[in-house]
Amino acid sequence: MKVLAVCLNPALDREFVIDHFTLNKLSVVRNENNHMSPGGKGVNVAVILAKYGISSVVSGFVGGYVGHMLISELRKIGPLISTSFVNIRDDTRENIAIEDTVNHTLTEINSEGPFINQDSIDIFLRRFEVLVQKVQIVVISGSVPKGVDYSIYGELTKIAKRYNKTVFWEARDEVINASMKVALPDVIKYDMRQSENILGKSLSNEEEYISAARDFIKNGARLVILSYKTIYNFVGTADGVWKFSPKVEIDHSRLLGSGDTFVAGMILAQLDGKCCLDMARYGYAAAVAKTAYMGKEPPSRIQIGEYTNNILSERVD
Amino acid sequence: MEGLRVSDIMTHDLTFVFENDTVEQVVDLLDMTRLSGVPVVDDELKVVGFISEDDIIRACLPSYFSLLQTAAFLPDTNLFIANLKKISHDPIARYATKPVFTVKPSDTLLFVADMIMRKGYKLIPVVDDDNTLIGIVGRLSVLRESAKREMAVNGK
Repeated sequence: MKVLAVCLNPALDREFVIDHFTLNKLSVVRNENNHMSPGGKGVNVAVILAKYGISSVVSGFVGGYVGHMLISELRKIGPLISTSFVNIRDDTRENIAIEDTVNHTLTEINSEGPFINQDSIDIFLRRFEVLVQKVQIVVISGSVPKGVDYSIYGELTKIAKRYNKTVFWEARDEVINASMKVALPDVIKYDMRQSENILGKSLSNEEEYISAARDFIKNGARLVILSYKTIYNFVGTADGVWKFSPKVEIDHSRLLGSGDTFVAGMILAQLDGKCCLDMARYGYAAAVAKTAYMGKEPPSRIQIGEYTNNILSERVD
Repeated sequence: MEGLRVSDIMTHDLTFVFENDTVEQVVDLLDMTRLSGVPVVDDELKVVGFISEDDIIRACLPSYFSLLQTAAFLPDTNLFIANLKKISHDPIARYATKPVFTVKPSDTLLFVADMIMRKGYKLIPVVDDDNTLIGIVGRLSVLRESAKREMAVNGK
C-alpha cells in the first residue's frame, strides 16, 4: 500500500436519471439510469489512484446498512483498494442526486451524516497510527463528521509526521484553520466549493490570494493551492507564487470530480519523484483533462501528459 | 481450483483489534461488522492472534463444557450471562487463539479449502512475508470463486 486515504465522512452516492422529473408523481427508474457508487473526497481519491495502478488503504468511519453498501461498492473497484474503517452505530450518509436531462435540473438530497463519539475517535486515532507506518503518502480529504473536532486533520498530520510521511490535505477553510494550529501538511489544497474564505477572511482580488499563498508557505507548507474563480489556481511554493490557467475552454458542467483528480494527479507526480511546482502542474493538468469529457473516469496518464501543454503557469510573486 | 490462489479470492479488508482491546469492544465490533472473527495485531500490524465469536462463547462457558460437549447440564443462561459480564472488560488477548493460522497471497485455494475442512476455520487472516495483515479469506470467498470457475468451464 502506497497511500493512506482518510475519508472521515464517506458517503454512498446514488444517482438517478429521471427525465421530466415531477414532484408528487411516481417515477420508475430504469436500471441503467440508477447508479450507486462509493463517495466522499478521500474515497474518490483512492478510487482514482486505483485506476492508475496505485494501491491505497481507505480509512474513516462507516456505519449501518449504508456503510455496508459503501464498503461493498468500494471492494468492487478491485484489489488495489484496501479498507480499514472504524465501525459506528449511526448510518453512513447517503447522497441522492436526481438528474433531469430534459429540463436540465439537478435535485440533490443529502443525509446529515453520523455523529461520531469520542470512543470511536480514539479507536480511529490508534488504528491510524498503525496504518500510517505502512504507507508513503497520507491524503486527508473531505468533510469532518459531527462529533469530531475540526482540528482532526492537524492531529492526524502530527502522527503522520512522526513517521516522516508526506501529507496532503483537501478541506474547507474552517478545517484548515483549526488544524494548522496543530500541524501543517506538505500540501494544502483548499476546497472552495462552498465558501471563498481563506483563514476566516473573504478574499476578493488576486493580490489577496497571492498574499495568502505566501503566508501558508511562510508557516511551513511545502505547496499550497488556492482555487480562484473555479478554474484558476494560485499556487504557492518556497520559490514563489504562480497563477495557473487553462489554455482551453472549460465546460463548467464537467467540473464534478476535477478537484479529486487534481489531488490524485499530485500524488502520482509525488510518487514519480516530482516536487512542488511540477507536482501542482501535473495535478492541474489532470484536473483540466478531466473536464474534457463527461463521466467519472479519470483521464489516462497519456491524456494528462498531453494536457500539460494546455495549461499556463505564470509567476506572479 | 488448483490454479486459484489466495490473492484471487481474498478480501482486502483490514478490520482488526489490538491485544488490549476489551471483550466488550470486540463483541461490539463483530456485531457491527457482521464478521465471525477478527485478527488481533500488534502496533506494527503484525498478526499475533485471532478472536472469534466461538472463542468468546467458549470463554463464557464452564471449563468442563468442552469435555461434556453439551449445554444440557446448564440449568439456564444466567451462568453464561454472568460470565460474559465478568469478562467484558478483560483484554481480548486472554481469549484469542494463539498462535494463529494465517495464509499468504501465494497459497493455493486448495490449501485454504483443506484447512477450512480439517480445522473448521471460518475466516483466515492473510499476511505478507513479514506477517503483516493484508486481508482476510473466508469460506464464502472460496465457494464464490470456485462457483465462478466452474461456470467459466461450462461456458455459462
